[in-house]
Parts: sequence; structure tokens; C-alpha cells
Amino acid sequence: MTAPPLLEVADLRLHFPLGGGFAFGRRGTVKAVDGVDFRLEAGRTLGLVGESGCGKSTLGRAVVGLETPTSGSVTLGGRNLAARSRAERDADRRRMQMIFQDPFSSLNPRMTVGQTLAEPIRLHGLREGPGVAARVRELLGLVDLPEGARDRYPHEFSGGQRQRIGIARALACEPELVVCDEPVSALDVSIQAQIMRLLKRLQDELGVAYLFIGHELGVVRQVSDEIAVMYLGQIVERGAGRTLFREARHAYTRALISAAPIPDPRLERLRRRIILKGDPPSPIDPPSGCPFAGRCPVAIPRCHAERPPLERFGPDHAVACWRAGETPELLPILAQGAPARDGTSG
Amino acid sequence: MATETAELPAGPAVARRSPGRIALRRFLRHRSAQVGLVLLTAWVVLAVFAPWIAPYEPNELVSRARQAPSADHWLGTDHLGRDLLSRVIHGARISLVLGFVSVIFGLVPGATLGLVAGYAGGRVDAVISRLIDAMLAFPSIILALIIIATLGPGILNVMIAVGVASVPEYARLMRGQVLAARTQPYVEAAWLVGNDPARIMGRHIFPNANGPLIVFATLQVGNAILVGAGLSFLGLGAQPPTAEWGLMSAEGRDVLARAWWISTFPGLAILSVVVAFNLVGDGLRDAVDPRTRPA
Repeated sequence: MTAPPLLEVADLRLHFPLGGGFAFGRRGTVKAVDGVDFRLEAGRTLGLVGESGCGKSTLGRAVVGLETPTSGSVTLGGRNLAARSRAERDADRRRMQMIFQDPFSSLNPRMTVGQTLAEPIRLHGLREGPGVAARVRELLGLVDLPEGARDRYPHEFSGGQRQRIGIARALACEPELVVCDEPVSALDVSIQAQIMRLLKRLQDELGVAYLFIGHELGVVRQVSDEIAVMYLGQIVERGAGRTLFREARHAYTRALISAAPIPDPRLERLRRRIILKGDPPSPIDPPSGCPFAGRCPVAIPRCHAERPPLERFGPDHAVACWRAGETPELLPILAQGAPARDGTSG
Repeated sequence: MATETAELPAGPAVARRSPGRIALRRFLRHRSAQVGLVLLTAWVVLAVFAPWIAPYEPNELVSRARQAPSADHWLGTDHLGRDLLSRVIHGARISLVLGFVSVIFGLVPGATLGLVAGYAGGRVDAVISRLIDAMLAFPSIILALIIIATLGPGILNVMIAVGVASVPEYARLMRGQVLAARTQPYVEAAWLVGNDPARIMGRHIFPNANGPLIVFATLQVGNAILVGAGLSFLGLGAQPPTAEWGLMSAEGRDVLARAWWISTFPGLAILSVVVAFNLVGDGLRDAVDPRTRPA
């Protein structure tokens, strides 16, 4: 790989100080994202999974610039986003867009769909004059909405239709990267599958890269070339979708995989679940060792003392666990991996 | 499910479905708003066509002083023998203009300050908010009195005083609305697609945050008329021989026992205009935010 990847995130940290006033008491620090590295090639998808509060959304927001990192860097096409002039930053903002979780609050209720879609086209001068309206029609077609949607207001649409409008708005900027922040979590299961298919089709047609954030491994797997599992602000395991399902080595990943039901009664009866005890530790002053040590069924004293680095276990697999070499023997996992499921949740 | 995306919601032509139009329709169907609107329309017509409607000139000496209401002078005559009905009708001009102009004097700077404070946050917000707090520490009538004392009496100065005194209230209200709106995903999306701060504030935040502001401003018109009349009553606003309701009330106060009508009718005029604005404001509030509407 000689050319720089489309997106490279290096040792990214987002720490939020706690406490109101500047003089009252000792305040803690929420380490929402604590040293994350990854790269994403053009036209590919990186899935980011983890439970609520693990920092995956914060990470996604930092990538597009909605949050300012405490340290570390986000590099887009070889250019560090923090080290740019204002004009460059405005120009690059267009190249990364975001699809939001809540389709109801992500559209301006006072603007028609046509106005919402035309705005980025005009702001960036992507089309001129009558070309703007033509492009709006084209965008509506891309997301399978009828042309008549243009003159309607968001409140007239269903959740799934609104999410399509949100996707069209992101595409209006002609981005190279789209951060999908749990784009289907708020939708009905039947609609989820449609939106997932749409996202996949758009990637095939437009070659856009996705950073796909979700909390359901099964959903994330459908679109992802590679999946990163996050726990308490850190990536604990990363691998190609299939590798991860078959050869997960981190106890947390294994627990996530085992939590997904299988729509085949024979396999489902064989499924052995790893039930995690307790809650994730608070990201306020997190433990110094492995963030998962407190809940890990195979933790050893070293896990509480030292944070394990993300180590490679093959060409497309990396794990942050001191016992990664042994876990396949210690913990159960489904041999063939869960069959691909169609957006249904566990 | 395959047809989910092909179906458009049924409905009439587009303009009628915009959120603003929907609120307007709710407003026009609101009972107390209807009463307020009728009352208000009547006053506006009287004010606009005062020279044609009023039977006499407001400062014309038409008869003996302090005549009780009669067929010739429906509301009687004042202490100088001017026709009270004509003066009350002409007074509507001053009071309505005073109400609207002082609200604009308060609304425009107040909303701008609140918008900037709420959107910019940080130090800008801290400075503006402390300023607002400091102004709010004075009751607004005291603040208005201080401003009048500085500028001197006069109807324009009353408008400035009443307007400026209400600036902090508008600013605080606007700031709160902006704080709530600015973290909405559609505002973040607006930034991502390339809007600059001015456009985000103007096109994405303000239109979604101005509802309570419009309601408050409407209620505030009535309040401004009341305060303006109060200042004139105290001799700080309109000067004789202007036909201004507050001043007219003051002119009759020494003869209240013998000629009750001189003070009473201007007072009733003030009352009805203020009530009209309050009814309209209540209707607007329910139309803008249907959740507060009684079931």
C-alpha cells in the first residue's frame, strides 16, 4: 500500500473534563475514546461495534469533526485534519458526511426535502442553475424516493423514508466517506433490512467508504469488510467479518457473538452463551489495566495491572488481550459463525 | 414493504402543509384567539381611520367641560371640553404604535444577543449572560424609569425605554431556545454539509426556535402599551395636549368623583387592547406548541 489510506486515525483520544465550575472540588475525566488507531481504504466499510457508552459514536463524531480530539490525529487522504487552514477544513468537510441515528431529529422541520437536498449542492457549487434541481431529482432517485417528495416537509414521512432523505443529504455533498452512526437502530426491523440493502447498493454504485457504527454485531456484519470491537473507549479486537466470527480471541467479542440468536432451531439449541457479569466500568477514571479485566471470565492478575496492546494474529486480525493465544481453548464459540442474518436483532 | 418508499403521504397542495401554515390554522381555530383578533382588528381599524371615524378633532374644544356621556358626546367631554370619544379613538394610534415599536426595540437586539450567546457559547455567552443577569436584576419598570430619567420625557423615549427594558427577557428566552436547538442533529448536519455559522443561525436554528419568542412578543405588546400608558400617566411620556390614554387617565384623576368618565374610558380602552393582545398571545402559544393545549 503506497498511497495513503482514505482515512487514518492514529492514537485518537477524546477526554472530557467533568464538573461545572473551575474551582469546585476535584473533577474526573471521562475517557470516551482512549487511544484508537485504524485505517479505512476508499470504497470499503469498517464496522464499529460495542455497547452503549463505549465511545463508538464519539469516535465517529470526532472523525467528521463534530468533536475536537484531545490528542491524536485524523488524516483524510493523507492530510491531517487538525493541521489545516480554515479554508481547507471547510473544503474537506464536504468529503466526510454523516448519517444520524434518529431520523426524526436529523432533518430541519422547517425546510422541504428539496431545500434540504439543494442546500449542500449550492453551498459547494456542485451544480449551477437548473442543474441543482436535476441533481435533487437524481438524489431522490438514488435513495428510491419519488420525485414528489421534493416539495414535502419531513413531518410527512415515515422513519424509514426520513432516513432515506438523510442518506440523500449526505450524498448530496458527494462525499468519499460517510459515517453511519447507528443508522438503523431507530427503525422497524423490516425497514432496517431495506436501509441496509440501500446502503450496500449505494456503496457499490458510488464507491463511497463507510464507517458503520452499531451495537448489533449481526447488523454491522452485513455491510462491513472489517469489524472493530470497542470497549470502554478502546478497540479490543479487529478483524475481517468472517475471521472475527470464526476466530474471535477476545472474551468480549466472544460474548457479543454468543449473544446473537441463530434463526435455526438446531443450531440455536447448541448455542452456548457467555453471560457477562456486571456492568462496564465507568469511563470516568477507567481502570489502568485491560478495560475488560473486571468482567472477563479468564482474567489473570496481569490483566488488571497492564493494558494489553493490539497485537496481530494473522493478516487481517488483531486482538488486545494478554491471553489471546489461549482463549480459543478456554471459551466456547460457534464453530461456523452465525449465519448471515437479515437485519434482525438479538 | 417494497412499496414503502414509493408511497407519498396524501394531502393537499404543499404550502398548506408547512409547519408554519399548520400552526396558523390551529391559531385561527382557537376560540380566545378569535375573540382577541376581532377586538384587535376593531382597534386597528379605529386607529387607522381615526380622522374619519372620530366625530371631532381630538384637540377641538367642542363643548363645556366635564359633560357627562350623552347623545352628542357618547363618552362625555374632558376637563377642557374636548370630545372624549374622539380622543379615545385617536389615542389608539399612539398606543398601538407605542406597543409595536417598543416591542421591536426590545425584540431585535434581545433576540440577536440571545442567538449569538446561545450559539457561540463559551466566553461570548458568559459575557452576554452576565449582562442579561445584571439587567434582569432591575424590575423592568424601574429600568424604564431610569432610561426615561436619562433621556427625558417624550413618547419616543418611552418606546426606547420600554423596549430596552425588555431586551434581557427576549435575550434570555432566545438563548434558551437556541441552546435546545443547537444540539439537534439537523443543526450538526447543517454544519457538516457546509453552512457557515450565520446561515446555521439564520436558516436552521432561528426558524425552529422563534415560536416562544413570537408568543412572548405578542404578549409583550400589551404589556408595553400598559407600561407606556403608566409612564404617560406619571407625566414622563406623552405631554399635553396629546390624546394618549395614560395621560388622559391622569387628567381625570382629580375629578374622579364628579366626572368619572374622563379617567374611566381611556382606562377601559387600555384594558381592552391589553386583553386583546393577551388573548391573541395565548392562542399563538397554543398554536405554536400544541402540547400545552388543554385536552
